[in-house]
Amino acid sequence: MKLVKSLFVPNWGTYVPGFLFCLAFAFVGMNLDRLFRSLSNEGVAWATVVYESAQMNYVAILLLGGILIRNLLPLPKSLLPGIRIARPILKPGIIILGVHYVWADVIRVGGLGLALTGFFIFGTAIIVMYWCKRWGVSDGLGGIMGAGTGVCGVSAIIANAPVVKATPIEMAYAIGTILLFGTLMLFTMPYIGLSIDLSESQFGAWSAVAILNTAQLVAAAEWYGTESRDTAVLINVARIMFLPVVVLFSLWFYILRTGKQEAGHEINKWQLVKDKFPIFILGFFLLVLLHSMNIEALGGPSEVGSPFWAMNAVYTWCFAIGFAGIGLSINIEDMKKAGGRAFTIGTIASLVKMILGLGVVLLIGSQALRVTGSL
Amino acid sequence: MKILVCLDGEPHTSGAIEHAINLGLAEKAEVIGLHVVDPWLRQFYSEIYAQGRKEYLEWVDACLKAEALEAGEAFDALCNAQGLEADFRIRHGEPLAEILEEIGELSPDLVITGGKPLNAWGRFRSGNLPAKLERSVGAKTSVVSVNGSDQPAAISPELIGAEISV
Repeated sequence: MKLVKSLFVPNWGTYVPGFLFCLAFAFVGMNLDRLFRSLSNEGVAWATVVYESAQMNYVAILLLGGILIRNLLPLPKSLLPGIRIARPILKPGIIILGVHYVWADVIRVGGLGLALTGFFIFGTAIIVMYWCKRWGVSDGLGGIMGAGTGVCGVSAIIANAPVVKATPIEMAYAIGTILLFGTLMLFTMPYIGLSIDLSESQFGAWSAVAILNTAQLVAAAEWYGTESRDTAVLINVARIMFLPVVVLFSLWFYILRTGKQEAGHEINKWQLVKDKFPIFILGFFLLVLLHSMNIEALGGPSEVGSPFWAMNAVYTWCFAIGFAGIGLSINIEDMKKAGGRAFTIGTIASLVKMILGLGVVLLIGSQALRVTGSL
Repeated sequence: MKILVCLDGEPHTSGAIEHAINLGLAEKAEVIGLHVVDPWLRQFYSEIYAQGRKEYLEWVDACLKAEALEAGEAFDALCNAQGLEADFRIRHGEPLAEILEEIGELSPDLVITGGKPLNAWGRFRSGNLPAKLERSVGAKTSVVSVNGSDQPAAISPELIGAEISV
């Protein structure tokens, strides 16, 4: 009995109603997507407008529907814990997406992505932290905004807040700002991309370097198309690999360089890097490796009945549940916390990354950013 | 007479405390200070790529405790300086809901809150808690919002991680 109990987190029951709600919402979203697609293929005019022109696929249905439900309906508080844990279901989906890549993609697109993200992440983080220091912004706010606008939004703020000792009001301003700009970019960038005929692979790279928050980044790329998603996820993996490095840089910039380290409280830098390293990306690379080895028994994502085909079918559901959780978590009240200097920093960083990122992906071109998934 | 004064530890609440003390002394009323620890920041620990979740939660909890401790100490200091014995309470949860719960349990005659002078955008952003409170309390309780200065708050670093006894 003890063993069975140890398999469950404390108060696991509080997560069940919200998680079931997300499952049901994802089911409805996926089936509406199928319905719109089949009606559009049959030539039904309104369905073509909804599915083709307005791009109302399952991602848009779950995100927009989630926002409307969360902000317009009296959602019971008992659903919130389960909704929160539905968002990280994207993670196993991203690991499974490893079956879409081969090492040639990782080296070509991932290598380019590593250079791109290295430039954008460190460029943003160093410039934001340096200018915050010059403008007299507190170390706490400068540190979390540098990491948040540079690496992966709220996730980076969470990793960096204890290191740079950000106060609750600073964290609230920074999280509100990142959520606000992440959401604005999620709903504007796909339409900007379509209006300038940006290819799917270019859009994937653009969203991976420009969108401040990772949840919104994956959603925007999946919304734009499968090629866009494949490029965005690969570059995003390169992006989050930099998280421990940026935290280490913040530690040096704000604490070690200025001699603010408390006596007797030595910081174990190796432990810090280990704690902040996103271990799940090792799972992603393991699947890339297995796919690259072309093992007959595992098949491929398009070989019906093979293990990789089955995994590929599961990934869509992981994404759908994750997007249901993301949509239902977008609360306008949270974004109203955006303000103060965090808002100014967020505005400048978002605009610069959007414009510069677009210029860079246009220069690189479509082919170099395309994931082929074949050996 | 019972007076409940809501404190969020920011400088603008000092006007509300002073108002409560003056009334308490004049009316020989029972004055109770209330600080609500808002756990809003805790929900983000489950962000998709969040690393160091435990450390983040510990840091947020320590900071919120320090804020509560500071609010309580400032309240005590002001009351002691005026020679008023007052009670101080801490609740955890969404501020408006917790204040209403406290009002329900305590049945005060008067609720005093601090308020910043805000423009329309500021009221939209902040949610205008004093106005919401005024709309939500019953007829037996009056709500007074005392405007104060708009200086940003700072937590004393030595209070982070300190223990609070309530």
